[in-house]
Amino acid sequence: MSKKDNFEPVLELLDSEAMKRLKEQFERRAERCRNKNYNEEGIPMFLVLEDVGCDASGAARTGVISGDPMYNLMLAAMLEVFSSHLANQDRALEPKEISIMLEVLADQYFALANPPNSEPTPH
Amino acid sequence: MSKLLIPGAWETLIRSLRQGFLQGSYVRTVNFHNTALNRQDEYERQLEYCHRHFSSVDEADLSAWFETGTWHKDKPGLLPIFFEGYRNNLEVAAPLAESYGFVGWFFIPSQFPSTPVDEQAAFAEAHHIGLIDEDIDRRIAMTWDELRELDKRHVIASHTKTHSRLTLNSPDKELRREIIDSKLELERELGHEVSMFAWLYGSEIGVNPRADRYLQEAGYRYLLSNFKIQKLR
Repeated sequence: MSKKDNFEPVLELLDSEAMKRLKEQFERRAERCRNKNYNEEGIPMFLVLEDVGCDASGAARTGVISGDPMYNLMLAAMLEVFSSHLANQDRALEPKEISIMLEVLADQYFALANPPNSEPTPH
Repeated sequence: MSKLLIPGAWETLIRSLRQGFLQGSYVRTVNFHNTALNRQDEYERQLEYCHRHFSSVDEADLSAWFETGTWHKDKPGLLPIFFEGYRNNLEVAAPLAESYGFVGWFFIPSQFPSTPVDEQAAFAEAHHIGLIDEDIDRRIAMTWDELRELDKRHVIASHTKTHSRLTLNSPDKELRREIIDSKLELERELGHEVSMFAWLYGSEIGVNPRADRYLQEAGYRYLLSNFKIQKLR
């Protein structure tokens, strides 16, 4: 993974107390998501849009580009932080854990993105 | 063994999801199964909230999103998704979705509507379709007539034939039945192309290359999985 591919510098900015609080918040949200009634509740989720076709060079197309750049960066950074929190050198992330991460992001941040050209609304 | 399968290493998946977020190449969904009458107020609050913040997405919107690379509405797009083809989706969820301007995406195991009413509970139990107390002793699945009516305002997609999961060893005969036969059956009943497919437990492209070939052979445009909507053609 190249330097520009990861958010380790972001994680390094967090001191141990800040990281501890972040992890605790994630765990609370994850537990809330795990306890939802999937048979009867509406479960918010993010789904990445991906064009699996290839361009002329053979590289996979990366799909659409849109949305609020600041919000998008926040989602990507949070995904990185959460996956770093859950994974360690001894084991791989399970797909269910990745699913929970996205559910936590959706549960927490679903409606924070503002329409283009609008004034930001307070959280 | 996990029921959720991913193609390759988890780091590769995280990288692709991160890239998707960074580019804004993502959509929001709310995933429903049963929509119980005694939770109607809860669903209404949720869809009203979604209406305030998000825009509906139909098939033309999704196609344009991929083709142009941009989202053309003021508010971000959201798909309310309803799995399994429950009659309670028609009675409770669809009217709410419509009242708040949303196109619903209904993923139907194609054998379920064709199952005789007195066999539907057993079919559900045998095929990982959850039931609720409200549906005891009554028809569980939508009929084909009801699906045709729903199809006029919403999107109907394939959720396999028998609500089947994909495994690495799924036999070709099973893959053809779940992927191709379900599409043919839905299209015969609805009278038009069915563009999207989803496995039970949401496997994506790359988990089983043989399945991927059948998806291409069947002519699906999109695969909905746990983490992505993948455009196939």
